[in-house]
Amino acid sequence: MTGAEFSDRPLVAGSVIGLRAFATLPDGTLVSPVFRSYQWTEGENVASCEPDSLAPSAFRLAATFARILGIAAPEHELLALRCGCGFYGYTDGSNDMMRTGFWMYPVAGLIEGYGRCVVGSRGFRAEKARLVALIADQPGAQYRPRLYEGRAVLTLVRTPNGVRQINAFTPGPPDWSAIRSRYPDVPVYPTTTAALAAHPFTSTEEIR
Amino acid sequence: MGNIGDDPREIEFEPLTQPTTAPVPEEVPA
Repeated sequence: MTGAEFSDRPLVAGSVIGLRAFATLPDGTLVSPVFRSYQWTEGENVASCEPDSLAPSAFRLAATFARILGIAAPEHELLALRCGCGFYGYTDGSNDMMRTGFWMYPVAGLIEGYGRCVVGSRGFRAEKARLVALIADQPGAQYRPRLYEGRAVLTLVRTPNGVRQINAFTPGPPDWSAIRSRYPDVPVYPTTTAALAAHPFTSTEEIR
Repeated sequence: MGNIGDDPREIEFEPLTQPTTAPVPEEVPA
């Protein structure tokens, strides 16, 4: 075994817990508000780069321009500093996709990130993640944009057998009955405060 | 995607415990 096979990332025992937002599909499935092709499952979720996602990607744009200009495409290693992939969580009390209203009816939740991670002053992105808790209140509702109001949204989803298909649906308020049915082992708390009392943030400042 | 803040660092985490949301295994009579 050569030295190149060893990662130079510091190895830390434990994981990181952070707050994040989800979009919901009509059947209660949680997806990223941005990369809606990924459907969250109970247990372990593993991140991968999504070159065929319908969502914008700075990396893909850079790769396209590099190809046009005939220069080397930017290096892209999953969960490296220059990569934007991974499951995002925030550890400073903020929750970007709830705040910016990228999705009309976001749902907040806590995730536990581990494996290869990039940790910053506000939070992390992780190679692997588990759903820890969901939060029933909707503090981001006032931010919801009118962009999607009454309009169909297209999502590219990957079925369990690997087939990609485009789904169209009109977003609506989260169906908590469907969400609970889809994720029966994930506790739902009435407020963020209650969820954090049971599953406190990880102090990323101490880790870093 | 979002902004995880300043001074990002690469760290690898190895969980100490079983999955937080893992189903509780059924007890099997001895």
